[in-house]
Amino acid sequence: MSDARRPEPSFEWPRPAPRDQGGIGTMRGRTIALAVAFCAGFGLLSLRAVQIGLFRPVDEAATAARAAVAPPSKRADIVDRNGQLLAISLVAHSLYADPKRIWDPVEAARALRKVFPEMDEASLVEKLSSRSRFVWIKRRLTPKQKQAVWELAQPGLEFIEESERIYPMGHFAGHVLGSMHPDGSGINGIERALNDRLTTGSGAEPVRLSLDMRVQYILERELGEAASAFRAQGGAAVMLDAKTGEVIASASWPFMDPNRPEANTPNQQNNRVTNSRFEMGSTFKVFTVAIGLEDNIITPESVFDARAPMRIGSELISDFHGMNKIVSVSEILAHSSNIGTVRIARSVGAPRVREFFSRLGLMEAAGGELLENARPILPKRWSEIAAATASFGHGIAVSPMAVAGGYAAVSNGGHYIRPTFVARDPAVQVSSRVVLTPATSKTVVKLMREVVTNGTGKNADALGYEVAGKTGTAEKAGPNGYDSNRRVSSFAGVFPASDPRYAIVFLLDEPKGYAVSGGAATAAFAAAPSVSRIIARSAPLLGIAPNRALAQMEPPRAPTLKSAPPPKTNPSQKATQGEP
Amino acid sequence: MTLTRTHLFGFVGLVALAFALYWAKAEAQAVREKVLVLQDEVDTERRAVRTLEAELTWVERPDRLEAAATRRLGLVPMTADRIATLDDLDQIAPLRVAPPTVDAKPIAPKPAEPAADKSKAIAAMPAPVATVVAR
Repeated sequence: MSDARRPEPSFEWPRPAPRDQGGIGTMRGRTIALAVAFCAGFGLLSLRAVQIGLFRPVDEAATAARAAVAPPSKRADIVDRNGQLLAISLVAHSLYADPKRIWDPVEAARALRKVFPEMDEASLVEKLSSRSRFVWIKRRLTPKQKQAVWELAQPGLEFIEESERIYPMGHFAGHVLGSMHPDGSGINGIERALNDRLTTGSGAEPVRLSLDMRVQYILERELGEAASAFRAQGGAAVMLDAKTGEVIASASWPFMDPNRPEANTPNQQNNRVTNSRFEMGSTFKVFTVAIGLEDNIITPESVFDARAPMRIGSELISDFHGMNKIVSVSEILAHSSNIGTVRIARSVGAPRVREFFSRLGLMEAAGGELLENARPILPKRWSEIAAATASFGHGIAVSPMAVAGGYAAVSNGGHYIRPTFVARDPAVQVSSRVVLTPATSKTVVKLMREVVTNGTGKNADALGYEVAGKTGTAEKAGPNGYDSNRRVSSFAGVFPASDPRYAIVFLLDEPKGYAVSGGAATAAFAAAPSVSRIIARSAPLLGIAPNRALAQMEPPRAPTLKSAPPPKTNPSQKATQGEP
Repeated sequence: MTLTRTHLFGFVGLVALAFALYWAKAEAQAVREKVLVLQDEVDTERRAVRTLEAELTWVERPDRLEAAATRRLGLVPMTADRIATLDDLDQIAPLRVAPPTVDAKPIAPKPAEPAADKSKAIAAMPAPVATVVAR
């Protein structure tokens, strides 16, 4: 039982000895002053320690350090419609120098030349002794080079992280992808056209193109082989999804490797699919026939007089494959009669030809998103003669892409859809404009199929996939009129004919005949066989089931007899064996 | 002023609390730093993954794969006449019904026969596209 009011025992503080009392001059005074000073000092220190220990945000220092090494801004990846990587930004190290901190420019330059033997010593010395605080030595080193420079241990040489754009597929789809300026903007292709979309936003979402790289590869392979076998000046090939306008594959020869933009000549950089214009020749006849059918001026059985060359104004129009007889519309297409086509064009009239071509997108730049997108060269005045020559593809020069768009429109039930290089969302309705009735479209496809089964396009057929289309061999205009030695040979078509899903255009610019093609460089030999092989190989990848009627023609119990399509109608297949 | 035991305990408690707070903050700082180090590692790994992705795409280029598949595996592109639906199967390779005998002897070799047939057929099959592929 303790008393609650009993005071707690108190501490005895040390008391000064009685004789040591006095002012500041005394020993005691000095001691106290010193004690006060120490106390104040330690007090301040402890207060600061408490402030730092208890009241400062936890990660201030660390985040500040981290911000200094933030990675360079990221450009979105580009992938194809199946997610295959086409362009990716990686972090690379670039080397720069701070000349103020260089001890001996000559020594530093010599050291650098050990790593970069291709550099010029004099210009290096000049760079390293300049007055500025920053000079680039080399952008985007390989890891090996970086290590080597590191080991030089030269003061004043510094690394900086930069974004590097890599195109892991090499030259495949190079023209579509385009390339990058070292400073981070697109020079051409999608890199330029969609620069804003690639750089803004989170940067994490890749841009999905409509290309299918498997088909792109097949297209480029055939284009490259045909172009070198026929020693062409250039070539272009494009495949469109006729129902959505998506570009499945697009190739221009000579190819371009976007990884080395500085190594590509302007001729290589030119995307002939969208940026070159050609007088396409007979492939246009399909459009002319379509107008006639749509306006009920002709039927597939209508006949025209193609017995003699025809004179319009000062021009004499004759046939390459002269038939010299009365021909039906299907024969006009199958044997590519200029005279017959002009007669159809005259009966529909020049204004209608012009209006229809414009609805088909042939009178505007049709290159999709790309900015390398040439406008067509059109007749200045759509006179009767201009419309007559345009009806068989002369006097009007368009890009191969425009022709592909036109073929897609006349075969897909009559809807023109602007081509696009970006994958469409299947849930979103495709905007289109009506150019033909579905019935006309069906008839046109039937006529195109006859070109391949009975006409000039025989070499384009692919076993089981019902190719329909039209050959076109146009002479190029030179200083002295059309030159019969310089041609543009092309094939434009769709497949499968029973329900056209894909449109394809294949073109060689100035192909030269050679032994294996029998000296011929017309479309039937220079373009059609390649189309056949492209379709035969890509259709299974695109999920198109082959026509069974063909399989039934095979002897069912003798699998040894079943082999690939007979190569006898494919002169340039042998060609590819003969030519390296 | 007299200092009681309450003052003493209070002071000691305060110091203990301050220390506890300091300790907690120091611990948090350490953990935070560890997180940052891990994040850095994650970033490095991500970069490495992206580099590897690019390299993988490069070695998986279709021209390279085709050349390898042709040379090393003898594969050729598929042609339309090698695609069939299930309905066609009966016509292409009809089932061989064993003759209604009790003797098991002829049944045994028969299933093996078409297989041998087929492998011979495949071996004898010309590879027309392979010639195009070879450079």
